Amino acid sequence: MNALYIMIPLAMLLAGGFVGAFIWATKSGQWDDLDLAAHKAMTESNGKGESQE
Amino acid sequence: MKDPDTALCRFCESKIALPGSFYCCAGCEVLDDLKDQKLTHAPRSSEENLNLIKHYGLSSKNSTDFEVHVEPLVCEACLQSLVQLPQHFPSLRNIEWYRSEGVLKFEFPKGAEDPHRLYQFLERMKLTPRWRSPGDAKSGRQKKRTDILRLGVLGAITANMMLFAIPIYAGLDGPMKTLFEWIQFFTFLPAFFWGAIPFYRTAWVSTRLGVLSVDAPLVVAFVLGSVYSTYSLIRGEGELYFDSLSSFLFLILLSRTILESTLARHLEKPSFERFLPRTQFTVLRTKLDGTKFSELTPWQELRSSDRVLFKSGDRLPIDGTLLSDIAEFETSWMTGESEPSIKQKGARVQAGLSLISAEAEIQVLQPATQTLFSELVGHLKSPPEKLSVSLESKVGNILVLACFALSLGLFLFGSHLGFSEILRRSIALMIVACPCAVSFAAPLARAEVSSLAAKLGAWITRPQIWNDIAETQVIAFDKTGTLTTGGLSLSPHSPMVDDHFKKILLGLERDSKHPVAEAVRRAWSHVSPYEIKDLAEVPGLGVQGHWGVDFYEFKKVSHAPATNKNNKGLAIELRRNNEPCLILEFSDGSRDGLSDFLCQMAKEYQLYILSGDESSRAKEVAKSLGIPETQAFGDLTPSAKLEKIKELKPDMYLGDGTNDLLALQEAPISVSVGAATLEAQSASDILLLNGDISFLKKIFEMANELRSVIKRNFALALAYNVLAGAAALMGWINPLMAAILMPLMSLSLLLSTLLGTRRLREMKVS
Repeated sequence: MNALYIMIPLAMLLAGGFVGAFIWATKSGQWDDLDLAAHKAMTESNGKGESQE
Repeated sequence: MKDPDTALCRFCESKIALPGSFYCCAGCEVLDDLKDQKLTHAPRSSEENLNLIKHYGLSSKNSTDFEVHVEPLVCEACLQSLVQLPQHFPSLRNIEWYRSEGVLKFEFPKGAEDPHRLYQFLERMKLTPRWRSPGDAKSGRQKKRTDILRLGVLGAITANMMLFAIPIYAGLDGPMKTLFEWIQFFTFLPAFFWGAIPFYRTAWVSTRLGVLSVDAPLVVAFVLGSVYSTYSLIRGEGELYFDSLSSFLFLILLSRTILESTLARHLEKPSFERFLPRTQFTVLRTKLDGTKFSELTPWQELRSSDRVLFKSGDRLPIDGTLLSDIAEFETSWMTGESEPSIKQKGARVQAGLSLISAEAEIQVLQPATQTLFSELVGHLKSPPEKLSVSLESKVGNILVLACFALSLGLFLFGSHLGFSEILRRSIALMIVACPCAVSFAAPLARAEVSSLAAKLGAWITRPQIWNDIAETQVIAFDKTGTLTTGGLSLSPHSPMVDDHFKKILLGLERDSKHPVAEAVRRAWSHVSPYEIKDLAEVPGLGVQGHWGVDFYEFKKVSHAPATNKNNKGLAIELRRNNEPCLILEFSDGSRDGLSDFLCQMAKEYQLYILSGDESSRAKEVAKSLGIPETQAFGDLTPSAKLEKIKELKPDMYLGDGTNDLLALQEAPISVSVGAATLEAQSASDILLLNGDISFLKKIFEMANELRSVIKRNFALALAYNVLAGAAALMGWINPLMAAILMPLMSLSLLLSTLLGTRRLREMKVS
């Protein structure tokens, strides 16, 4: 039974971590663009704009 | 080795649909031009850039964002093209695509913005970009993010809450139970203070406006349950409802999100698509070796020079050239006239025309987005909202009041049950009997039927109007352009014309665009004209030319025969060598088949004609259409029409011109007919774009059937509310069961609506 006193905070921490990650993902617009991002990953090496001369 | 039969795009190596082309799309062609070169950077200080930054730039600390609406991307290669854009724009930092919104977002570093060049580039890619104001962009996206966030976090809270609730239900006791209860309490707090905000807001706004809202009993139950549970927790005895309340909040929000997105899908379909009975067409293609094959292609992807096979009933989404020998089209969408138009091989056909012939092959000249039709559809706007209390809000209000009254009754007369039990039953009652389903099911059914009506030729700008349509008794019509075509046609009073003169007249009018010429061509469409020499059109005077040695003129009669009292139209005479030989009369004819339809309508409805034309003509048209002459009024100015509307109080008014504007605004249901003026259209609830008034009959049928679907839903919802409410009152349903039952009922009503309208749709289409 005593194990619960460790398990419960751990479980809550884990759940909190997931919720935190979800909040971060939503706020930083991870669900906004579900198509182009996947394609950009394929051309990552030359896809980024280079700094302007 | 590449397959020799398959041509590949020079840039992206996708398959090329159009034989003879080197590229699969305009985007690839543009990008191939730019291969291995970078565009020179235009100075930020150029006038265009400064303007764009001022109006459309959204500045943050290090960057400036721009957003443009673009046409749907047609192929994978287009998507690739966009990904590669930063390679060609040295100053472009990032690009995002919001597919559901059809929006591209560009990020430039501060001080190096070059939106003008980018815009030109998108234009070259034929993506028809339109700038989006930063305010619209920010608020829309922010709301979407908040909705996702709320649903996700509430889901996590509910799942965690249940983990701690289940051991308690299973009999956990002692300090561990207390611990679990406090964990539930703290987990519940974000749901109470943040998750339920949309419900608090709706309830608060409606209370301030003095109207009942379906959210009111929910908020009362939620707050009451939360306060009581907290009190019980602190006291150390009594029931806790944190799990029920958070489950309820999550499930109701989930079911609303599903309902709202279903509704939005119906309302936010591309408006253009709403006008197309069929949205995919057969494109005939040829491989390089000459083998022919066909491919089903969506309307957005029809490209210039595609050869498309249309079938009877199709509405053309593109402008094109007719490749079949002959085809008959209904032109009413574009001209408001109901007479079909016969086109010969090589003729240009406009988007918006509807094919009457069994089949026609057409080569695309302009894709759908670049046609006049798409421009017209783009102009259609919803009119300002007229106030009307819908059936569902009336029923909803009654249910909300009943919930409150029963809960109050429980507190007043159920004291023997004890406070805790009364509260438990009240909370269950208010949750289970919330009329959310009713308030969603009806708008959804209306959106579905509106979408169907649009496909058949009637654009319903205000879906709430369906309730009123079903109750229509009195209808008033404008005359010119509504009951009559508004164009000229050969009057039945004209004398018989022999074939020789028909050929002369058709030859004289061959190139003229005058309404008289159109009427002549329509009247004798199967007669071949003579070849007239020295053909000339003298504006205001008529047409003239030589046939053989004779000189012919076709012009307005200089001295109209005063004796002919029946002469209500325009008299035109044919003169041979300055001697009159034939006088023809043209008049504004009534629409085809209208007489039978209105005679039938007159038996069920009270019909009026309100016209700006002379009284005698209004009465004559009324007589010819089977409407009593006493119900036809002429010589009415726009304001006199308005007065007449106030006096006669028709339920529906049909008009087409700017002179009908006041009447259209006053009438409870306003209908603009055919090619009505934009002003008239924008004041109307229903736009009969095909100009076919007999379509009203279908609209009435749809309204009646829709009403029966909505009534069935109401009956279902009412039965559920009464049964579930009674069970809650008796204490057979606890708040947790109520929290699960209520969203389930909402979803089952949604299903019933979809099934009901699908049957309606299938029946109408067949």
